[in-house]
Amino acid sequence: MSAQISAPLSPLLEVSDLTVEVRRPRGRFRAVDGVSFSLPDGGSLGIVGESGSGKSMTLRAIMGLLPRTARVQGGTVLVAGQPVADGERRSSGDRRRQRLAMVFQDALSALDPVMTVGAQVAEAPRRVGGLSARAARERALDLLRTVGIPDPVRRYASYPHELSGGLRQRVMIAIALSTDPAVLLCDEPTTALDVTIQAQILGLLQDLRAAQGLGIVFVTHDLGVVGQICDEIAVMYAGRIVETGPVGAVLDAPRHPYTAALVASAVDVDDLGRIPQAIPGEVPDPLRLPPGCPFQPRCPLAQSDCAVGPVPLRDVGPGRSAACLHYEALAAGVSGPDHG
Amino acid sequence: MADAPLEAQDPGRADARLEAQDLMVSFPVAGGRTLRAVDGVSFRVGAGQILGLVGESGCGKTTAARCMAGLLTPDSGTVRLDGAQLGARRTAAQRRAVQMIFQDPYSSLNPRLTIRRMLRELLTVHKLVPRPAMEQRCRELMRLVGLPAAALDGLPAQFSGGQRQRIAIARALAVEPRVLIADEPVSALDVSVQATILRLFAELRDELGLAMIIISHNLAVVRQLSDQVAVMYLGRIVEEGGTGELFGSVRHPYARALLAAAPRLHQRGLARPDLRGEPPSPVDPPSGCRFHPRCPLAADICQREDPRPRPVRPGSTHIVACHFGADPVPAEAGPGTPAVIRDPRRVRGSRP
Repeated sequence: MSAQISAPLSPLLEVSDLTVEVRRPRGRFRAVDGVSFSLPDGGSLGIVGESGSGKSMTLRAIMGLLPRTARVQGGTVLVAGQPVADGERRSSGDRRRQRLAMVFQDALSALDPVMTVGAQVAEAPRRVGGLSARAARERALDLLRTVGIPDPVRRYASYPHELSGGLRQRVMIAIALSTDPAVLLCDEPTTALDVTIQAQILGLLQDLRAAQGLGIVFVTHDLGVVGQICDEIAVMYAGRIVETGPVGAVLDAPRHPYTAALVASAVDVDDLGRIPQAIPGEVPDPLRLPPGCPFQPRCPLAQSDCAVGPVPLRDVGPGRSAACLHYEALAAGVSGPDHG
Repeated sequence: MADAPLEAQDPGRADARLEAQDLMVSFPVAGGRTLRAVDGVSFRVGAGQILGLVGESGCGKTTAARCMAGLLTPDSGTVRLDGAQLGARRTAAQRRAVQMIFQDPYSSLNPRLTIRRMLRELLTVHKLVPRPAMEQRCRELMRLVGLPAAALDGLPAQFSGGQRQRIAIARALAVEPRVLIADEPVSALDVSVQATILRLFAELRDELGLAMIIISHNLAVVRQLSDQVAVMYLGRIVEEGGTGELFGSVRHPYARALLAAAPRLHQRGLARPDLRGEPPSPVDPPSGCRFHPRCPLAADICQREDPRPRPVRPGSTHIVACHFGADPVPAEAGPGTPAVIRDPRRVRGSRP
């Protein structure tokens, strides 16, 4: 879709070979293992995978918000072609990361409970943007309006607990926008919300993309959500991207057996004829990953060569890549969304 | 239960294993006001049937379920099990008969007990199985929920989320219930695991002939699993019916918005349901139809008159509480509320 090679500029966000190591009492493992992707201006990428696949850790590493037990072991993050400081945690001099902003799943714990939401939205314009108190307040009110908060003057003085989950999530998006970012990194921002409110928040993100050319990286476990708001999708398993490509092509005809299994396991409100199929086996222990392809012990297509060595991503179609030695078996129509 | 009221013999009720009639629950809130969480809710579920209860946070679905399970006493209204009314204080047998499963299995399992000890304790307390047969029964329960017998030696922390939910189900089944109520049983699980747990519920319904109530905000889950569906909004049921019929022709604008908002695997582009704002506070519900301030169809009558639940066409079991929800009625047959959307003038909820 957005494959124009028009702009001579570098991609908005370019992540190459990002590797994050996590320390556990029992040992160390790579929670993110050689993840690469790039996001064009105004592009949107959905990263999906099960718990523990490394999708949230990827976002945190980009943002410089890794927990103390994790560190970036390798790789680069470029924002508009410029590297961000390569620390695990944000430092004050880390100006380039200001072009990135993050929206979390749980707004209630991400917001300061003893500060009015208005003051929280005004904080960055004031401290980073150097605006006067009055100008920062005006800017904050503008932002509250932008994110669709009704009666912003009254809401400015509200505390987070006084707002509904949907409004809190809007406030968090307003805070994210307050630094004028080029990319919003969203970590399951609608998972805790009711479906109708989720639809409103997704609509807001979509509108912001259209109006401000904001790039969006959207981490979720919900394939349906990615299908609605993203152009591109990356499927993660055991810390690696196993398949990536245009969202429609990937979800309609997966080229990695794990993607196919995820699609087949999803419960869909329109899909009556199809009984959701569970993925056999379990997500592997990150400290004892199986040799070769990490999905191989659960994979219906696995053969002896799958356990031999690492399986890199390779081209499997226009703009698509998958890390599978035997994806042709899928392409031949063994599984996929065709039914009824 | 010798003092079961006379209605218990009412033949019309014979097929309902669990039945709730006109449940009302309110909670006191700050300022001496009351929040009516459940406002006149009735439903019934038969043996070997699954009733899906859908609605968003705060619609009262969990509160209604807690009344059914005997965890909460309603202000008024009755709950009947196999036709017999359940009092405010249930007997041990009645408590056993209705079991509830929660969203987060981990916090409902004792972290220090092996699964075997947990089950044996239950079986002992309820005097359900003689000691020599206990191991056999524990293994049988593991088989029912699709876990290997070796799982009996594990502690809750050693299992994945899906396995823990299976263990929670095994514990509920241990006391030989007649009704199983599951409150958002798959919401906390990874998508890849949800399917197996849903399938387990269907298997248990068929194998044990249980009556089940599945509470979920997820229409896909409910559609997949239920025989009957009830959609709740602000403490009321706004639409109910057989799953096929209801989903085949959703009538209530709120239920339509819910359906439109559900993410779909093969849909590209964003669904924008026709729904304004957020649910109002149940402390101060809107006049007339409670949905009118958010409703795309709202007309004057909706502000004034609370729509009574009625069949979408005469004799149908598909019920909707919307002035514009039923099929058009021929003029001579039905005076009263307008049945056609003649003038869907928008009435914005713009009062201060």
